[in-house]
Amino acid sequence: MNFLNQPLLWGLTAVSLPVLIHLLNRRRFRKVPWAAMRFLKISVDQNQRRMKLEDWILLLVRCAMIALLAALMARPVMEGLSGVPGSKVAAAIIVDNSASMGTREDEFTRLSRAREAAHAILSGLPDGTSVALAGAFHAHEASNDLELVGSRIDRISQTDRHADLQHSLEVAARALDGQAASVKELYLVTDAHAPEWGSFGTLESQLREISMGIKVHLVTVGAPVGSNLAITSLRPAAALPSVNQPFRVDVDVTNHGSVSMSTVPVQLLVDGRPEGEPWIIPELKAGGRQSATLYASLPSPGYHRVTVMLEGDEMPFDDRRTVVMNARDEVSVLLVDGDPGQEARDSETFFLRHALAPVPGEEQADYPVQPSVISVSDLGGEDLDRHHAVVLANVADVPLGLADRLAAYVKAGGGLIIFAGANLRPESYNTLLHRKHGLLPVTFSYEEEVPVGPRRAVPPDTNPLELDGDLLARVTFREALGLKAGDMKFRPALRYDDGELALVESEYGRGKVFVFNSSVDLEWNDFAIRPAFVPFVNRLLGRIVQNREGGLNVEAGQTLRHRANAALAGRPATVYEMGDPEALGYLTTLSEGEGSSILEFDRADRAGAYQVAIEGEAEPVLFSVRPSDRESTPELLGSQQLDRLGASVELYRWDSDREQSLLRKKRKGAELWWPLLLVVIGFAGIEMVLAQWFSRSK
Amino acid sequence: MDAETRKLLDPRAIARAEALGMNARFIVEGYMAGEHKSPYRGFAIEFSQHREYAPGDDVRHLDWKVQAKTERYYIKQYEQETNFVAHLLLDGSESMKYGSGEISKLEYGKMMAACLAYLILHQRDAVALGIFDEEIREYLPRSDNRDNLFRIMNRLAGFEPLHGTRLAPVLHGLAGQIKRKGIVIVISDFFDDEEELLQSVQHLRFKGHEVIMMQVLDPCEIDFPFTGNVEFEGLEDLPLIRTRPSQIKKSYHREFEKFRERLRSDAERHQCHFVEVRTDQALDEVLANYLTFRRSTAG
Repeated sequence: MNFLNQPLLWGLTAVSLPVLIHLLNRRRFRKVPWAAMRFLKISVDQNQRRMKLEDWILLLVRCAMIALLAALMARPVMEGLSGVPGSKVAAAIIVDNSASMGTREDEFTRLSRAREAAHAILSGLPDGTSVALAGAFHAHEASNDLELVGSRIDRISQTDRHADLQHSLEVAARALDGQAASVKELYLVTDAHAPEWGSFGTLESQLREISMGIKVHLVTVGAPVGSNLAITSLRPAAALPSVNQPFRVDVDVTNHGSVSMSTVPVQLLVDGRPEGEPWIIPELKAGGRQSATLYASLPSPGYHRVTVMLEGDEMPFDDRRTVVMNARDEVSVLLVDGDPGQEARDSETFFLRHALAPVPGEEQADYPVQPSVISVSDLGGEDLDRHHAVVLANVADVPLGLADRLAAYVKAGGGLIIFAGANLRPESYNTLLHRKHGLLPVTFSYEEEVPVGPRRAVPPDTNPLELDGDLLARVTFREALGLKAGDMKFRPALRYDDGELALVESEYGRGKVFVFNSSVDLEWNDFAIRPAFVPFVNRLLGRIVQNREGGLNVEAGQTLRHRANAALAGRPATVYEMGDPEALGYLTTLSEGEGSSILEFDRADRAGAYQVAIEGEAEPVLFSVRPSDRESTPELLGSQQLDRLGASVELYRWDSDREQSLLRKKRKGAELWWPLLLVVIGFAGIEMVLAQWFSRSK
Repeated sequence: MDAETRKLLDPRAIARAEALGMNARFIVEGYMAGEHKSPYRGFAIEFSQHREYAPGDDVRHLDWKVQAKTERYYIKQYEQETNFVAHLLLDGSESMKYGSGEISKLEYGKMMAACLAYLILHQRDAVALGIFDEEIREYLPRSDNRDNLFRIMNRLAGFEPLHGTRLAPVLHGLAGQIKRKGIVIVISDFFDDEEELLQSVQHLRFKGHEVIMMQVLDPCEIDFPFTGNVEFEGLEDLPLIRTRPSQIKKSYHREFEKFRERLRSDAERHQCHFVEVRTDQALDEVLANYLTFRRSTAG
């Protein structure tokens, strides 16, 4: 026999209360002078023994009732006993499996400790308890089969996500509220990683609120770690990843620990194979961040994994980071020249073509970007779908048929770039492309509305094209058409220094549209001969091409949403985690979107690369998941904060042997409070009946 | 008559009893001798017979003519229309001090004695008063003088109980002392040994007295309405009794009822009138009821 609330056994001293009351009552008599003593004496003599016996019986019943009540409140537990009605307990166990739970301590991780604690909690629960088990992100249905719950505990897997404990607690408390059990207990097994308790006050008040109806236990595992190096950013500097074209990879490494680190190697891998020598960061101070620059090239067309990694430390989840890049053999761009000119140099697309393929003529055939120039009149016979992007450069009008073709082409995933110029007449653009198809997010305004005078272009704060402001400042824009915003959504990608729009970007179906209101030759500006022009053109094209792979790099826990060819809608797909050969595949189906099919996947809990095999498609799609940056801070809740939580919840440290055994012992066996309550009620009933019976006149 | 003594006479009781008691004489006589003349011999107007002089007889009633003729002393006896003597005996023991309400048993008994004395004297009958506990404490010899009423009142009003009860020796003593037959009215709670009491009553009856036992009880003594823990303090130096009355109420009722029943039946067996009176009863009602009862039994 064990008691869960042993201090309440002091309540047994209350047994003396009925005795005291009895003794006090014996001292308190109302005095009555009396004449007929003779008859009174006879009556008393006749009843004295019976009255004494009744007094003793009542006293014993009352004492027993109070003793049982005190024992009941101390929550007695009988080992090896089951099937007692009072032991019906509904419990919810939340095992934190956020990224920080992957922190290694000796040969174990915090998660493996948490699993141990969860098993101990489970073994302490009486048979028949309904247990709802949840990780930090996914909850299981409550079950009375404790073996099943035990096997689920073993299957709780490590994630690289940031935990939303508030949400987990809310879900668990709601699940318990719906249970009919009279005893409800919630166990949160966590490393008390400070970032997860970011809004500590809110979480504390939430726990306090929950603990009003539910007994909440907070079991903490893991000890603080002193150092943690993390890759906090991985940025491939390639707008158009191409086969065997070297590109730069910028990596940020942050020291989240409290001690300086020296000689930190940063290794780059492509598809898991090391790429060159590691970059060495000579010194990284505590709390400091340093960038490393590495170079890579993609060996073949298609998707590749570009990974950077540090030497492993105690928090391994942020020691490596992967991005997926799609290398292409060739990016075809169709340049529709609205003003060919007499000489090639006078052509509207002359500078554009060279900017897209900035290599000598003999190398142009091998260059990944293949621009081709046609006139407006030849456009009718051109298959637009062969090209990744179509550029309308100073094209005067867009005929009805062309407008329809362009709309269908962009919707299917193509890119459209419109450059203005002296030939461009706004009517057909505004009427057909804007009003009829909605392809243009803005309208061109007439010349008289355009301000006169030289202007500079400045990137907006978001700078989606990552343009260099200093280089742009050297460009002079003399003329431009006005751009007028309507109801349609767009993003400003470039503005003039007077605040007017210069370049806008919008999505249409799977494709992307850019509208630039100045010319792409030297007629209205000197942009084409300035250093900012080549990166500008390549970024535009890169945005269009990357748009097709948009959403392939997400943070752990985010839903992957990738737009694919509309023809794939309804097809089943299987998602595999590439880093783990034993990982099971997740089945999903591509849904139908506007002008595309959509692949959605919301179980990307681990960082790394994933592969999606779509039925009927020869080449799989790859995507990458990065760990949550918020998890990299090694800080745990301090003792003061834990003490504050202790006011409303019961705290256990799983690393303490004493508290471990306490937790195991606490719920061992069956609780007897319910049968005891029945006995107390029975005694109360007996006491009432006896008191009535004994006080009857005899 | 001072205020204290005046209080003893209940005007309503007297008025109502007088209305019935105009014929008290008739009732008494009728009860004792039916429609015939009273068998009592007294010293009233109409000569009845002679009897030989005995020491102690009033020499004024000597028939000197007979003495002259026969040289013997004879007393003249007369038939008198009313000549009964009522001996009012009031229990003045400590047990009579008990009273749960405004009035104690003794006060009630005093009022009852006073009213009866008034009524009897008012009819020119003689009244003697004795107040006793273990012995006679106060005694006023019989007298038909109305002025006697004031003395009776004074004695009643001035009496304070101090001792326990011993009825039997008192009644035995009186039976021996009272020469003339009369009515002995005992006003008491009779909380005494019943056997001895009834022997003394029997003694009085043997002496030819009519005995009327008027038992005065407090309502609480009959109903025993107490609750909670009560310490009963005996009024006649009896030891304390602590108990929970509600738990022995039935037993008490049983014992008390047995006592009353025994008294009642024994009184009837000895041809005594037994009258139970509760101190919460109106005195006029008690007297009226009793006189009505006597009238009806007188036939």
